[in-house]
Amino acid sequence: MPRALLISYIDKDSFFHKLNPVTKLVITISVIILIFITKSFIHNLIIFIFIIPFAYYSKLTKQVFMPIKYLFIIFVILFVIQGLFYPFRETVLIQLPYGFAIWTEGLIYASMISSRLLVMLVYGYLFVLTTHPGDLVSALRKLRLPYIFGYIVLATLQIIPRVQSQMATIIEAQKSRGLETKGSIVKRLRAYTPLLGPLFMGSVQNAIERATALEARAFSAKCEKTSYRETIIMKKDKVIMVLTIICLIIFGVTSWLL
Amino acid sequence: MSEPVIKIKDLTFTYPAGVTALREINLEINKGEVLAVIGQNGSGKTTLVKHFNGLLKPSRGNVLVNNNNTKKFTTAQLSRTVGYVFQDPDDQIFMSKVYKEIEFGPKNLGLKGSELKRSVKEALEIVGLWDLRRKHPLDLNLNEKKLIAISSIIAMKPEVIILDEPTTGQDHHGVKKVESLINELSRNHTIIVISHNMDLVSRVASRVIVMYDSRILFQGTPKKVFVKNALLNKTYLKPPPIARLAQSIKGFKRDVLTIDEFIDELISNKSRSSKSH
Repeated sequence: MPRALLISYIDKDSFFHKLNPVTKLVITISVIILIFITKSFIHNLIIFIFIIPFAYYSKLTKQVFMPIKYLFIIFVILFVIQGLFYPFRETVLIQLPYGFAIWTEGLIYASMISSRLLVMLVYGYLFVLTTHPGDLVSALRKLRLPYIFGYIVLATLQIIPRVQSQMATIIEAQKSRGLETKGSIVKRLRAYTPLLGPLFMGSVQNAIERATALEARAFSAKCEKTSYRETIIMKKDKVIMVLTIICLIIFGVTSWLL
Repeated sequence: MSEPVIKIKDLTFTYPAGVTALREINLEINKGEVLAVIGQNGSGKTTLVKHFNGLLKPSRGNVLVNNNNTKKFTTAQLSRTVGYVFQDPDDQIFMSKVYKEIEFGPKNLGLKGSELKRSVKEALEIVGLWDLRRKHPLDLNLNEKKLIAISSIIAMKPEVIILDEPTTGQDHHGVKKVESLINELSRNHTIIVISHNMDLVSRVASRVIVMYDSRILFQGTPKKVFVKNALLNKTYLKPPPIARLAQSIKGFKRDVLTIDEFIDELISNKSRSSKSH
């Protein structure tokens, strides 16, 4: 499966990898709260740049930026739609023929949304790359969240690579039957319809089989469950969590006042 | 010797993740032959055949289909010449009627009207499923779904048909059906079949290539390949049961592959030994 975006844990020996999943979750959520407090996309871009040291210390500098290209088309759509049709438009930036115009407020709004998406994507992706799904489930269970909740998180993380590899096989099968997947956007969109049937049917079938397999291994048994992977919240985790929350308050207030 | 349809020169292939799945493969596939590719899982069989219709392009070396380099063509273009039936029919079936499913390929090649209808009819008749043409493909059983997948490729009238593990998950009846289908198709097509079913391979193949650790370990007719037990052992393959039985009997010819041959050998062996007494 070439060039596909794979959401999955990459095992590396780094400080960030060794943190408790809860700590990393606190950092990620704090960053996400922060970008919704900020009032300017420039602040968001600064927060975005802060991913570089994080990624560097996780030894995943390159990988963490890989999914950005998949957001590109969303950015383009955001800028075009918001630039032309933002409801609170006031200032015309460029006048276009037929009464259309590109509005400054729309572009600002689009850059705000795009920068938020960008930050959420890279920080969220770094979290997924550095956290073993088993650890995450175990840590969530320690927080006394219901086991099923942990499983939902785990299943979501697992389903994406699986669907991607299934998608790749289906594309190959249809290409072998003369389906042309190169050309204009319309042509490509039309080409992808034959893929949805097998993909959807396959996913439903997979889910049913998975449920049976889980039940066969006593998934819903009513007793205390143990975990193969154990996670403990250490002193450094506590320190980092407190620091993160202090940083969130400081940055949040400053950004709000600026 | 007839003209080769597919020529493979010094083919090496490395997946983007860095795994080299094929090393310096040289192979010529001739018109009309039934080529079986055998070997363990992960030995490179599927990676090799995916080069024949351009799903994968060589990292080094070249693959020529009718003297056209696959690097210059898309899979869709090559599908006119090389048809590839995937292992799992559920990966390709998406239409709500069997005949519509079969039409998909020929339509992509630009077939219309009566010509289209004829190719669909022929393709369904070869596999014996013409009567099921108005059914929903997902209502069929696995044997039938597999035949639908094969038929959907036959309808495109390719010169070469690749069958990737056509008997996986099939019952005895399904295996027999696939076997007779291969025999029937081999009259007008070049067939390449990947299989773990040595019994099937020994009966349908005119040539067998044994893959091991991303290379072709050795090749030859089934009779030559299935007596090389030491080499086969290395690849965790075994000759078909009847051949193993024959090889274990003293005084038997070693290249017995079918039950009929076994019976002949039994009779002649008996007359030989009665003469010597």
